[in-house]
Amino acid sequence: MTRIVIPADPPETPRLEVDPAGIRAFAQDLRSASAQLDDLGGFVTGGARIGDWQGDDSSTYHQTIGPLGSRADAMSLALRSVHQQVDQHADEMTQLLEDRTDLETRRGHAMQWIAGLWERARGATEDEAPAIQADADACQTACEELAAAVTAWQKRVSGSEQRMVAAFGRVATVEQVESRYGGVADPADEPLSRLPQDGTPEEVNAWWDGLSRAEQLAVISASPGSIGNLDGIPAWARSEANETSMTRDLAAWELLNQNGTITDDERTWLANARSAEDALADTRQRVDPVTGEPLVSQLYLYDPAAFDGDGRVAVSVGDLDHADNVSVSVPGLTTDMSGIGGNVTNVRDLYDATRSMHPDQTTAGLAWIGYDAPSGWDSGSVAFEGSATDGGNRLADTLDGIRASQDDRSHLTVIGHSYGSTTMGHALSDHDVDVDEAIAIGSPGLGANADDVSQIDVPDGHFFVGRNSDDPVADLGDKGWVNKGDVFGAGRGTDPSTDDFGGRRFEAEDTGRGGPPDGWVDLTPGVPDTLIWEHSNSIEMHTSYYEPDSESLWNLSQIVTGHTGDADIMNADHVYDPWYDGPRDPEKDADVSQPSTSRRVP
Amino acid sequence: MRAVTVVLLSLSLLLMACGPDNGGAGGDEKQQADDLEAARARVLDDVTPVLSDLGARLPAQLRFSSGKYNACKNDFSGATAVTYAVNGRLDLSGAGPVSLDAVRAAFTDAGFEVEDEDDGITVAATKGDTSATVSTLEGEPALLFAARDDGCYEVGGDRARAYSVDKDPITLG
Repeated sequence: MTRIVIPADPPETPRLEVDPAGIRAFAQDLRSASAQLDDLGGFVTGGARIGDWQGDDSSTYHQTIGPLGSRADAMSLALRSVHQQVDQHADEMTQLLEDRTDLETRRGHAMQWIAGLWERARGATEDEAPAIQADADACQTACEELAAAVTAWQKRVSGSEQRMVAAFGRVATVEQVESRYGGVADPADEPLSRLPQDGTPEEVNAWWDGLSRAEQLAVISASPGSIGNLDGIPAWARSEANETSMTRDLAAWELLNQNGTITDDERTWLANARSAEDALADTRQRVDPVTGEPLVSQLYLYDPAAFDGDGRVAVSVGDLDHADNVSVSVPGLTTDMSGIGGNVTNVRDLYDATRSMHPDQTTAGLAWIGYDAPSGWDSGSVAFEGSATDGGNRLADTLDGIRASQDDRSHLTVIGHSYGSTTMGHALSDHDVDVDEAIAIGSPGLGANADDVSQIDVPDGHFFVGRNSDDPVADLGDKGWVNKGDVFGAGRGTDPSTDDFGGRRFEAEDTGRGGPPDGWVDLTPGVPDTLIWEHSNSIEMHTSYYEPDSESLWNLSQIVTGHTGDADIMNADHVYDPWYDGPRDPEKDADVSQPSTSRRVP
Repeated sequence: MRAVTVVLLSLSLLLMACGPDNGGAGGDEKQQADDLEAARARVLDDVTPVLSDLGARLPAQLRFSSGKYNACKNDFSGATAVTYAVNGRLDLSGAGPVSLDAVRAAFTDAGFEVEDEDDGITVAATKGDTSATVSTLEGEPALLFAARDDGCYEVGGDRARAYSVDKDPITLG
């Protein structure tokens, strides 16, 4: 009788009940507390001192606050050190969870292997036995390697936990904190003294790259406001800094709100900060459609008090520093910081589509409200051109900053929607920018300095236009013979979808075009419906460019991922304006399709 | 003529702004919520047997599934109507190439009608109001799947926020 030795089942990797996101949130709280204490230390040694106050009371006062300041500084450094350990712990736990999944997958394969061996061994002949035993030996080796890997994994878990305990143990008492950190110079001070003032993004990036990792982390914690919105700083660092500022702001304003002492301005800023926090949280609770990993979201811009309380904010979906493709989406009408959530939803839909259609490429999108966008139907006023010009300056800086801070050059696309396309037009016509693609959707025109594609800084053949034929805002631009833009004061130059402009138009029709709007009351019986309903679903037709499974989102995704050949895009005919009649849009009669934006493209 | 159009357009927008909210009254809201929940259940009921079948045939394990509510109507404040969609990934136990015939068979056995178009990487199929795709993943032994309901359900601007992510809606035995 032949005896075949089949290996025992390999060991299971123990469950790891841990929440890395919760650990990271705790680390963020520690950093914000550190920043608040650093502020207190700075206040005590600065604003709290009263130079022209003399006498005994003054001496007592200054002698009392002096130690308070140094103690706050020491406590700030202590919290910072713990923060770094906790943050590292979150990284380690994330990795350990992923490794556990891999180990369990290997174990599953080994179990199937063993089951197969048992199956083959049953009723095997003498001749078959040696081959089965050889396979069993190979399986035994694989199981032993797996067991060793599980043991190593368990050691890493306990090692990480021990480092956490040690980090907290070093600063468990006030005495320990003062002994270790009292009188110690803040490691952020010296690097910050070398920060180039009014430097270009390239100069700023060179400064940042010249810092050690410890110095970078110190700067983020000690002075988040100095780098959070600074172009040339990598997105990960900007986000860490801005989240530190945001968490600190929220804590302060929430407290004032609870006390009933908050001012109207502060209440507005608090609402703005909450909007940014919600947008980040909403994105991070979702997963990448290819890997299933939680989405990365970065707070690239954060200034809740900017523009008289409208605020300034930019939130990413994906990792701006490392993605193969990066897009910057510029919204238009009714945009202020409180609306960041809706804009991030659009960018998230774009992210999901690009990843699903081209899973082999990584992408990141930025919802950018970095300018004082119009926020009402007076948006078409002449004053808007100034707003778009200023916005164009800021957008060009952002694009330069993204380029300067990336180690590897990404494929960069800027997308302007509505009056955001006018802002984009100014960035592209007033500045030298380095984008690979530019897209205008629902555009009333690209501004006074962009009459045709030759006047914007985009590689030849890489300026695209999406225009729903029922979109009323896209109908405001000048089409040639009838200069509507000037007549009504709402257009912002040449309609970029016209043949004269020279861009590449893609299909962006909506299945809902043409019908009566909800709540429609026909006050003009007898007047042809086509005249009144030319823009019947007006708002929807202007706001649907990012909708999943739409022509527009499908084409946006193709362009953002660099699939811009003629066969890659659903091409559309241009709007034209014959001398004998008004403007004509051939797309008005085109069939509307619903291409799947969750399906891989060959 | 265009001036007339613009005036009428402005008037219509004004009327829309003054008219009833898209979400309607309370009774309508409940009906809309019920319809959307029914759509979610339908999509999951339709696609889960396909994935279970594939898991056994290939074999493969479910790595993740994620449901969401995609906008199908928007205004300036965001979605006013949504539809339910789910996507996820199956990891194959073996490293060999995936046969899309197995995918087609799984769809057919679950009562789906498989589309004729064959691009060599995706199988698309429909069952009632449910549209689904399963695609291969280049360089990795895995399949990506996606399914959605073809309906569009009014939720009103305020209530759209209540429809967020739907974590791990599919579990395979």
